[in-house]
Parts: sequence; C-alpha cells; structure tokens
Amino acid sequence: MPSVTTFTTSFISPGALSSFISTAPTTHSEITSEQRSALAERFRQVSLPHHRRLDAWMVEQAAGQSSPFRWSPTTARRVLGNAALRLRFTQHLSPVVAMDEVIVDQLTRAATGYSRRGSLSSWLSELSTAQLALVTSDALNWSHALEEIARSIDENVEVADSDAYYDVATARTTLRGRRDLIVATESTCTLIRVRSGAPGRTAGAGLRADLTIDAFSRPDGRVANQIIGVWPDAGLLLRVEGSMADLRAGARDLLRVANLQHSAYFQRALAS
Amino acid sequence: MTSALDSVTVLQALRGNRAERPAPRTADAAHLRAALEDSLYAIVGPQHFFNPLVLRTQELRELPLDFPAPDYSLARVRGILMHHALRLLSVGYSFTNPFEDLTSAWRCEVGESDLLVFVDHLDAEDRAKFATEIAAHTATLRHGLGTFGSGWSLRSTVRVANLLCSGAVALRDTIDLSIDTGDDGDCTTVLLDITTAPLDENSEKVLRFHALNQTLRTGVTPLRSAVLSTATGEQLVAEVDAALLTQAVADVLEAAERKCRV
Repeated sequence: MPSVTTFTTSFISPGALSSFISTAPTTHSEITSEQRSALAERFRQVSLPHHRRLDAWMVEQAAGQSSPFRWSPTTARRVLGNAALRLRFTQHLSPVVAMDEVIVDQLTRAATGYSRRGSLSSWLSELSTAQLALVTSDALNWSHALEEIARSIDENVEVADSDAYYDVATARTTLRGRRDLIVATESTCTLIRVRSGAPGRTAGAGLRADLTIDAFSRPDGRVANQIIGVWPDAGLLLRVEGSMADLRAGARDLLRVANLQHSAYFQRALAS
Repeated sequence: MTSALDSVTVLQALRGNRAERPAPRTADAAHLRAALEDSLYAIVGPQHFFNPLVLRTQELRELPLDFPAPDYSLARVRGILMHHALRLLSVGYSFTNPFEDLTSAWRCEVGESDLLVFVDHLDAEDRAKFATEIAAHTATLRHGLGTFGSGWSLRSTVRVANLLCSGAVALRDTIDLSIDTGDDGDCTTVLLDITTAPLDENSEKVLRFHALNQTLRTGVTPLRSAVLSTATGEQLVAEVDAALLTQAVADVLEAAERKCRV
C-alpha cells in the first residue's frame, strides 16, 4: 500500500506550537549514500547547460515563471531579521540594537570591499537613510514575529545559522531548503519555517521539499522528525512528519520541477 | 469608546493605566470563529469554495455602489506615503524633507509602479502643494502619536489573512501598527490604524475589524484598538471587550450579505 503524507493543521493559539513539538513522531530515518547517488543520477538525466538552484517555492509554483529577483525591504527582511534575532539570543541585546549591529555589519562589508555586486551588503550600501529606515522597519517586524514564535515554544529554540544547501554532484544543481528555527530535544528535531500570507494548496509540498533538502544537506543524512510551517498572518500551523515516505515524495517533487525546467529549456531551444 | 483631540497622544491613550490591565483573554478566538463560520456559511453557501469571498476594510464601509474608485489620485498617494511615515517613525527616523524621504522609501519598496510615475509627472506647482500637504500630515502624525517606549515591540503594516468556512471566506486586513508593551502576564497588545481622512462612523468599524482579525490571528484578544486621523489629529480609542468583538462579527456578516447581493 503506498504511503501518504500526513499533514496536520491547527490554528495559532497559546500552546499550539508547543503541543505540535511535544507530539513529534519519534521514528528516525537516515539517508543512505545509495539514495544520494540515485538522486544525483536522476538530476543528471534532466540537467541544464547552466547552473540552477531549486527550492520549495519552485515546487509550490510547479516551476512557473516568476519575476526576476530584486532586493527590496520585503526580500531583505528575512535575512536581516533572522540574523538580528540570532544576535539578540546569543548576546542578549535589545531588538533595535541587534538590528543596528546586523545592518552596520552588512554596510561594513560593503565599505571594506568584501561584498560582491548584487549582494545584500552592496544593495544596502546604495540606499538613502529613509530607505534604510524602511528596510530596518520591515526587518524588525520579521524579527519580532519570529521572536514571538520562538518564545511561544516551551523547549530550547535556536535560530538557524543559515538555510540548508545541497549541491547535487555533477548535476550543476543546488537545492536550497529554508529553515528559520530549530527545536532539538533529546529525542527529536523539529524544523520551523515562518511564511507570509496564507497557505495555498501546495504549501504542504513546499514544506516537504524543505524537509528533504535539509536531510540531504546534513553529512549524517539524518531526517528531522517533523517540519512545521507557521503562517502568522493567517494564524495557521501546518505540520509534515519526517518519514522516509515523505522524503521520497519531497525528492520526487524536486525532480518534477527539474524535469519541467529541462523540458521548457529544450522546447525553447527547438523553437528558436 | 473615547474620542479625543490633542488631550493625550494616541500612544498614551493606548497604553492606559498599567495597573488596570487585565490578564490575556485566550477564549474569545474560538467563540468568534464559531460564530462567524456558522453565520457566514449560511450567507455565502458552497459556491465560494473555489473563489473565496474576500472581505477587507473597504467592504465594511457603507459607500454607494457606484462610488468611483480613486485611481491614480493624490488621495491614494497620500495614504501610501503616510503609512510609510508611520513605518519610518516606528524605527525612530527623523524627517528632513518628508515628501522626498517618503517617496524615496516608497520607491525602494515597489521599484516601478504607475502611481510613482504619476507622482514623478506632477508639475512643479502641484508637486510643491502636495509636498506641503504631506509635511503637514507627517507633523500631525508625529504629534498625535507621541513617544514609543524603549522596551516596546513595534510591528508596522501587519498583514492578516484569516480564512473561514474552509477557505470560502477570507478576512484580509492590514493593521498599521501593532504594539506589544511587553509586561509578562498582562494583556499588552494594542493596535493602531491611521487614516488621512477625518474620522467618521466607518472608523469605528475599521477599529473593530482590526481587533477581530488580531484575535482570530493570534488566539489572544488585544487590549485596545485605535484610529488616528492625520488630517485632523482626532483619535478614537476603544477597549477591546466582548461587546466590541460581537459588534465586529455583526459588521462582517453585514458586509458579507451586502457583497453577496451585488
């Protein structure tokens, strides 16, 4: 009988997130080197002449066209907000001081020549003071929202150092899995991802892709016990369990996106 | 509900007497959701499952059906710029030239937009008049707001998307400023909306809608909700209690009925 993904939803209320964490499944799964090789082989079959990066958003959008990336207060807030909260937790700074430190650090990188063109540091260094204040305001909003979520959890929470990246060997493909908070207890590990807006029909598939990429990015291949998506705007939580069946489904979704990109590229090439 | 002009700043009114703050109320959200879902389903029926009925603050206002949409008008630009002003003030920004500062911040956010092009093409006379108007609204906002506490958590432009009846109805809202004054154990969240128009009876509906949406979104009832007019400096502040939330539910049901009839 084929396994199906179990999605569990709940409204945000005091204790709801902690309850999801305390009831995490306790089964442990690990990715083997054979599974890594199999994934690489399949990505190689649908590779492109150029390098590509796949993430959960592309899975949710079924590789649909999106507008080209540009830095804006909205696109910068997560990077800055997460960094500020990490600093706040480790150095016990006030939210505003932590955010100032993060922005000064970015500007220093740009001023000392350690940032490349198009990077966040380089973009920030070109802004006026009013624009920088707007970026700070948006990033502080994100940081406050994330802190509110972190403080609603009874267990020990850490802000993820970075997103999860997995470079698929010889397939010129990088997988990027987003993660905002990590809750590790003695027996379980929970990833938390904070999202804007309201969850769509493919939100679960997106979370599953993030969970899969996170597992592949770990050297020991250990799969997190669950991933929880938090939509503060909609007051909703969505949980995906970290079973091997979910991981396979997540890998299939990523391959499907790669396949769609591959077909679209060669159709364009034939047409031109 | 209290309405005041220049007596106390809106932040002082929202903060109130710290000793009289109640404990956080966490039971309201479930009751409100149940009340809304039961009544809304009877109004919207099953036809909206693939095309949700979206209710925003605009739908709560009782405007004539043929009310013209103020596209590309300076009123819309003024509203956008004043929201940006609040966002900048919330991080302690001090304005040198409000119009230039705010349009530059807006440009940074949206990149290119038709409204920005409209502003860029104003002639020198209109531009100067509009810049003075923006400076006056900004001054009223700064004066009416008062000072933020150093330990408060401020969140500007809080977007809300509460889905009801399995997604057949969406309550969409943007709360201009949500402030958590941060005393553990007390109800400390207060909400603020700003408008560039004078206050009227619709302002009360907006204030109630914000309180309802915040309750549904977080599961915790906020302490107070307020509206501040940057045109007149008037403010309307309300304690969020069961009666206010019940009235907010009635407003939503009325708006849903009106929208379904159209």
